[in-house]
Amino acid sequence: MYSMVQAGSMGVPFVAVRGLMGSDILNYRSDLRVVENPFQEKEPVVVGQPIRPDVAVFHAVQADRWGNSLIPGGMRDDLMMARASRWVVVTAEEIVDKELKDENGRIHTFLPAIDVDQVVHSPWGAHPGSCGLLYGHDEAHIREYIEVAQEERTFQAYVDKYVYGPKNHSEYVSRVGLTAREKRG
Amino acid sequence: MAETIPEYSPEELMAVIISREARNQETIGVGAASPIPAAGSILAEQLHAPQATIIILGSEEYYPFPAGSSELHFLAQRGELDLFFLSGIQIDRRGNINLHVVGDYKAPSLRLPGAYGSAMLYYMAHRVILFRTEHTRRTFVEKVDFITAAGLTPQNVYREGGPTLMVTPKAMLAWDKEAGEWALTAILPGSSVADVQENTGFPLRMASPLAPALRPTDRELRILRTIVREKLLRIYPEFAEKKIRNF
Repeated sequence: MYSMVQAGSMGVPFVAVRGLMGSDILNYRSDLRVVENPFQEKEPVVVGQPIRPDVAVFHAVQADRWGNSLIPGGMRDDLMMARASRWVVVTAEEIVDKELKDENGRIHTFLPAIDVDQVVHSPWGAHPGSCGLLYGHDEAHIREYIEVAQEERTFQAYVDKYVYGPKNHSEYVSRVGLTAREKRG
Repeated sequence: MAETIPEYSPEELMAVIISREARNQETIGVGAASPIPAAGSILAEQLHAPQATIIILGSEEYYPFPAGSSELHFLAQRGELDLFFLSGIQIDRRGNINLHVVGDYKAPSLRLPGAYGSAMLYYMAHRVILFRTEHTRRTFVEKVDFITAAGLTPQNVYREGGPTLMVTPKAMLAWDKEAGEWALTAILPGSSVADVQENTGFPLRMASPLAPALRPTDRELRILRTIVREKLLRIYPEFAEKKIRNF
């Protein structure tokens, strides 16, 4: 999977991967095939089709008007995923005037403007997930979701209330009861 | 020096058993949702493997790379990972593991997140230890419902390593590469050969002689419950709090 995303980021036609032989995954995935290794006679190897998502969305602590973005948390594979994707949207807690630079690699993952197509200002955009040091997981909301997801009827009510109900993101934010005051840092 | 026999949780003993399998100067990887192997690897580092390179997904302290989990994946694919750990909702006689579905793939009674790289890692890590906290007939089956990662290797396929050991709260089983099957090598306290066979869904081969029952030493438990617990609280806080006793 990582190889297939990386292949997408590289623009190559396919990628050879190790292992997988004997796995039932090969029976259900048309984007994985067994071929003979062209450099090693009679050795079967698995090749995969590159993964090129139409759209990738990342949520940033900060983005600038050119698309440079700081994604919370270091040690992430976002750059590879952004490059594999055909259209990259960054939603950001804050859009800043100054040009952002690649610093503090252990704290943020940097997406450079050249790999970003669109920036959207969306405070609380990671909710109910966390966003770096700004806010943590909304555990009560996640518990509510786990509860209602057990049954089709309650799940539908949840989706109507939080997904289809609000006209826009700020209406969602007020519906889940978030206020700027609650934000840390 | 005689050691007293202390009380401990099955998770603590499994972590101790795993720690004894890690060797100094090895590169050891711990994947997602693997608190017992994480505890075992850190314990080994504290006891006999101070120069091991330990990579734990989800840890900052034990993550020596600039990018994400693709780093561990590609390191293993390069053939540079000595020891890795896998589990499965089902594990079978032939070393196959199932991380996909219980029941029919098209209409499963349970759908799981999936392989997460295991179909490659099971081939390319030099040694893979399987761990499972539930030792029952529904987990240890004759044949898994879905082969996520295969124990046996088709002809002419390149493979660096594969299964070596399986650790459960009842037993330790070693992979017999010649036979392509598991062999019971040791019993954990509180279980017996009959109990293990009763709770395993395939006939067990026996290693002879069977190793004596595995127990943690005082020193292992003390380090596990102090230094290791402290470090584990930052990676698996709930597991460290509930399963590793505070010394």
